[in-house]
Amino acid sequence: MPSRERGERMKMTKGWKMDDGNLSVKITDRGRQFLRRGAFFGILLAGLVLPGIIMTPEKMIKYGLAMGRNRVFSEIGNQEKESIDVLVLGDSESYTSFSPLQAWGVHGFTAYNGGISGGTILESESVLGETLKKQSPRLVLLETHCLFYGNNGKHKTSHLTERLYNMFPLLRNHNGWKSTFRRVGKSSFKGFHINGTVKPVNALLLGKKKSTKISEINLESLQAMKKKCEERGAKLVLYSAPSPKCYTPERTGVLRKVAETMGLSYIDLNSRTREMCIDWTMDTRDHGDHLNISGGQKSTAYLGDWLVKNYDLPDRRQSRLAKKWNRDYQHYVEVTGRAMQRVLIAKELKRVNDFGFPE
Amino acid sequence: MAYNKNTYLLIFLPLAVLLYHLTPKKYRYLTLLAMSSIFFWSISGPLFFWAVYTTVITWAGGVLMDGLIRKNRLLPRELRSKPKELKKRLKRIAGAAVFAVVFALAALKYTNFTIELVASLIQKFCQNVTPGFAGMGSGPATVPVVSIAAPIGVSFYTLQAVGYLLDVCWGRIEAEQNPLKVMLFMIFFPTLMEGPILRWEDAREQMFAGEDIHEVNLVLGSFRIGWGLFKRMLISDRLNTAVGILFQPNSGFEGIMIFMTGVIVTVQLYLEFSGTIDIVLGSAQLFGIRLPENFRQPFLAKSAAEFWRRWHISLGSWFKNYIFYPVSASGLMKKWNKFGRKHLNSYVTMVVTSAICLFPVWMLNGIWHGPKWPYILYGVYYFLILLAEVMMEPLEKRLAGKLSLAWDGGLVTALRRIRTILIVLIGETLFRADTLADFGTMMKNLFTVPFRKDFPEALTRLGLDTGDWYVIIIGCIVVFIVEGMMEKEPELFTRLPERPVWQRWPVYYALIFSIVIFGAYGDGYLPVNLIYAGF
Repeated sequence: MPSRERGERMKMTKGWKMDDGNLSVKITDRGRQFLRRGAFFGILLAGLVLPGIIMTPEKMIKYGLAMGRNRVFSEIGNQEKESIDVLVLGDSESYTSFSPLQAWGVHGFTAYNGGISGGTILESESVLGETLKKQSPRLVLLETHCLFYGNNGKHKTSHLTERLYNMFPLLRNHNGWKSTFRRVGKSSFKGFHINGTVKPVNALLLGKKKSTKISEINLESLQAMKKKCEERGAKLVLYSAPSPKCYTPERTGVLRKVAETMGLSYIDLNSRTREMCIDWTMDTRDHGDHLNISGGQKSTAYLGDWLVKNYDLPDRRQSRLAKKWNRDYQHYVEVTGRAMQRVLIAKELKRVNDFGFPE
Repeated sequence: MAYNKNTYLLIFLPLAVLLYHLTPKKYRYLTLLAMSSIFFWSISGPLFFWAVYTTVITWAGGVLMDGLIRKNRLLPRELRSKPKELKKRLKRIAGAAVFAVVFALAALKYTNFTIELVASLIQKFCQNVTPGFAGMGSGPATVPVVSIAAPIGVSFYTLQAVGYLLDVCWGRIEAEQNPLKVMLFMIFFPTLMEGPILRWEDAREQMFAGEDIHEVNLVLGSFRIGWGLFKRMLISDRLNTAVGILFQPNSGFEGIMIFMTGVIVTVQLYLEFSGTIDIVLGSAQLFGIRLPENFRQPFLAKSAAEFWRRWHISLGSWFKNYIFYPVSASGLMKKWNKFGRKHLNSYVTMVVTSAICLFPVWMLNGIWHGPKWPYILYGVYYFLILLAEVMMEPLEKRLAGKLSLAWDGGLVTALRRIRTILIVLIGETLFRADTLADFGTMMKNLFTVPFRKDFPEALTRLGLDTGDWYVIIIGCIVVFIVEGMMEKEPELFTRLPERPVWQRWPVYYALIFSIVIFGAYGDGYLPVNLIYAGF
């Protein structure tokens, strides 16, 4: 290559080129490359950021796009202002053991179950924060199983993930497409999950030793939740849902000590299953891990009575909220009835298996 | 930290690339070594010193052997050791070094297994003795089972160390004098957790060259990482819940659901492992290091032997180079071949030779995967299958000839592929089972009548909804179409940057947004741990 040509070529690749000292500029190879890269990342950024403008919690719930644990955030954010007396938090043990609409029907106080499947205490803390933006609950009930989750650096990752989710809401709500396949009419009963499956407790599956260790980070989160509640005049109460798979006397002993040290109330429903008439052959949906609808109704009845007896909770059945809550309650009763049918069929089958057909 | 975690992909890896770029060319391997040491320490903490121990032994062994060879070469011809004598001395050094590194591996990974095995034998004869954890006597007399933690990647870097030592001993390579380079070869962070198992030749040229960061390598590396994430996050991570349910003891699945278990676990295992290897190769490519491929469309294999030349290639070739060939070329085998050809027919000689050479390969392959009976049986399973293939192939060829079917024709190839896939499905089910009893129960339940009992209702009990199944099926179709294309054009990905913008940008965006939108993350999904990192 002649030296002049080579020099020209080098000039071309250095960026913007002046033509014989004129002001006009031409885009050289390198400049073109720079623009191309800019365009690529610009489109990518737009693709990640723009959906976030549309994906606000309100719009996600309005158009039925919020799924799974994000659904909890959206639904709580969309509850009528100052309409929740009791907020229930925790993992799946919480949303199978306390039904807000049943408590409404019996006692008249309003509740919302913000439990998340496999939810960590950090997530419960986030749900509490989201709720306190629009609500002033009198009681916050925390189901204690999430306290035993190991941390294993999960909190650090969670913070990084949380930041990414905040920067790009598309990431948090990426499962919105699943709503296309969701069965029409599937409702959330103020966070409670209705399940009519019956799978009796299997002693073989319960044998494993459970860790009684509660990590420092989880205790810090619990302390932070207590502080948040106190600041807003709410009482934080710990409860352990009936679950022979998740709880042992050692675990509840540790929880009692934690509650005592932190000055919190604690109720262990595992030690009261007889009073609640829980039948472990009928009231669990997965061999003693979670309660089914039959067990959930029993534990809600017991816990509801206990709450009303021990705390000052209002009866709002004559308030302006009543119309909407009664409508939801009617729907809840219908769906619960269908789920209970399945439990009753299982009960009948068991009876036939045990004692044969009636003469 | 793991390859599929945000901390690795968004913090550690970009930081490593930046630091590497800022370091003078001559010292770039030291940056890689420092980052690899941080990576190792972040996972295994002080167990890092086991890697230092193996490195020191490997480096010293190599230098000693190299010194011996050089010294011998410098001596006048009449004073030189005889080749046999030199070989003997080299073998002695290599043997001691190999013993030292393998002993560390055995002590870290197999102590518990051995104690439990001995204890269960003792228990069989003396009923008052039971195995239990140290300090937690669970019976009248307790044989202590000590909990020993193993450093990350110990099985992988030990094989690399053994390969290096044997290569130096056999004169295939010259030993490296710089211990830091040997250390980097052992614990290079992209290969640390799941391989591929490197040979010194794979690393020597590229790992220490300190090549500049080039845009093309960044594009290719990032694309490969994206492809790995696609396989993992769309399919493998999504199937994790289902696999957990299917392998629960007393899960109660029967008939076709057991067959589905084999399919699901095989797909999950393949996409988890090959997806992670894509991330590994992509990570190395960012630094201009092209590592050898570890998978080559294994489900297109026509036999189990070919499957193992396409699946976990680096492990297969390690066993071929350092176990199979040495056994085949040993004096004993030569004597047997001579005897067989003289006194028996060639078929019997060939079958017995194959059996003797394959047995140690597959036993060690099973044991290498970990101290669990299903892994050991997995090795035995493939030994028997490969031996059966050796025995059957002449007969099958004869049968195909009698039926006027071409051995390489479409029908025979299709039948052979189906048979291989069935063999693999059984193998992977065994591999994933927690105990031999669980595997036995599953095999028994496979033949329940009616075969399609509760299907497809049972599919709805696997914790996946309709949308999940669509993503899994479409994702698998995409993966297998791309793999089919790669069978014809192995450099498919490498050629992507040469394509015009209107062709390659849609591919890049489709990959990124399919991971973002359809990836199984956040919302109730539990990502699969790096399965092979446990070995």
